Amino acid sequence: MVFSVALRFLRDREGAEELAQDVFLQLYRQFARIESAAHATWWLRRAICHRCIDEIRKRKLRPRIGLEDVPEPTGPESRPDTMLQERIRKLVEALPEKARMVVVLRYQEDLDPTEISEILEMPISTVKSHLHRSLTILRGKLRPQEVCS
Amino acid sequence: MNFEDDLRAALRREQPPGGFAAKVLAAAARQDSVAAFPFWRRPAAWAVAAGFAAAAILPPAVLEYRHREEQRALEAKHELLSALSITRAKLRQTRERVHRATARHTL
Amino acid sequence: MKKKFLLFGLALPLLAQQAFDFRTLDRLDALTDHKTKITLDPDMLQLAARFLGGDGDKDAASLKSMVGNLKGVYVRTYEFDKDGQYTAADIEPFRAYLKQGQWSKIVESQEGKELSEVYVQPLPGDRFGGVAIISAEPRELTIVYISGVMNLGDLEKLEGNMGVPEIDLKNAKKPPAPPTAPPPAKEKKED
Repeated sequence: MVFSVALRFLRDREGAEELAQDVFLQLYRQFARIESAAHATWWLRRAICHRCIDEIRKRKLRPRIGLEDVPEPTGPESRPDTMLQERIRKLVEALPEKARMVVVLRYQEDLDPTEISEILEMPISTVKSHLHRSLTILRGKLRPQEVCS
Repeated sequence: MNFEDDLRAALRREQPPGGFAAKVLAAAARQDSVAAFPFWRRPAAWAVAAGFAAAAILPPAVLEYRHREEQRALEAKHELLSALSITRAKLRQTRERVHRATARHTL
Repeated sequence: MKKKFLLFGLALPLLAQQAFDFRTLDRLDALTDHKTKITLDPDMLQLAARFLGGDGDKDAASLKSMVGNLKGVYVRTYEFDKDGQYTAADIEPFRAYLKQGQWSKIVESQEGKELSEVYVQPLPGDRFGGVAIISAEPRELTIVYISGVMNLGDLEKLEGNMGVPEIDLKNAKKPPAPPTAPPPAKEKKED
């Protein structure tokens, strides 16, 4: 969970592994305060999200091109599902950092907007707005026949 | 599959690389010991507890929330008991199969 | 310090390995109406534990204590109308997941076309990180996955009664629905 969230967010396996390790070490330092397995999971999710956002800001990895400038894919698809998933991942990775994190928490971690708002310390309305706008953008960037609904 | 299913499939969790847990443990072992967090330095926790103790009246929304939570808890308990019952049945079934196999082997 | 490290070391494999993604079994959903799907993550387990024990029942108290250490309880049971509705390939992702998490198969039993496998995730000392069961029969598939620190005694408890009612697996009845909440009292409008 921790590594996976970092990977989806940072787009960098080595960076994700390093950050995930850091977060676990942070957990280790705080271990006396952890009350249960559920608390540990909640704590880890929160920590990795905030650390990822901080890391991005530190590295200034925000894409130089806006999402609107991501070129449309061209050419026939030989392995539709794998290519589609890869393209979706790249598009998600190009979302602005907070929107990206909201999408990852919603669709990778299956959290509902209330849980996301608690973890990211963001109003629920903002979470829903990020979700709505991100889905609209992502659908728009994919070819019509690739979006089944 | 609709688009949200495609999104879930694309964002399916990835496992950390092999040896990840070992690396973390090794790093933890190298760390200096952390000063214990003194109990008296928990002002936020004490303040919240005192606030709830002082509050004599809970607003209706809170009562409604608590009732919904209780309902969820009861449903969860029923699910848990079902799950454990199935687990028990399967463990016993397995044990019986092993006994029968052992008995046949012995004969 | 040493104790903290040991506890952390015990918990880390559990925290680092993610829960199995049961959506890999979604294909089987469409093949039968007779299925049981139970998903209890840490939050739901905590909720469930609230109503366990507390009335002097030793078994229930023992169960509550065990549940307090669990991270997740997942059960999938599918009953089919005919043989051959599922294959080993449907179970393979779960087996691969267990293998990756270094779970040990402690029991494997085959009787005709009925197969049972029981796995545990070993931890230092006499502890386990969880127990998993695959029960594969021609017209029924059951997968149980219980994640969380437990000891040998807990495994024995799982096979015992612990105040858990029997259910008839062949004619599995759903538990009675909990009482519905009364509508919230409306505030009296002042004239």
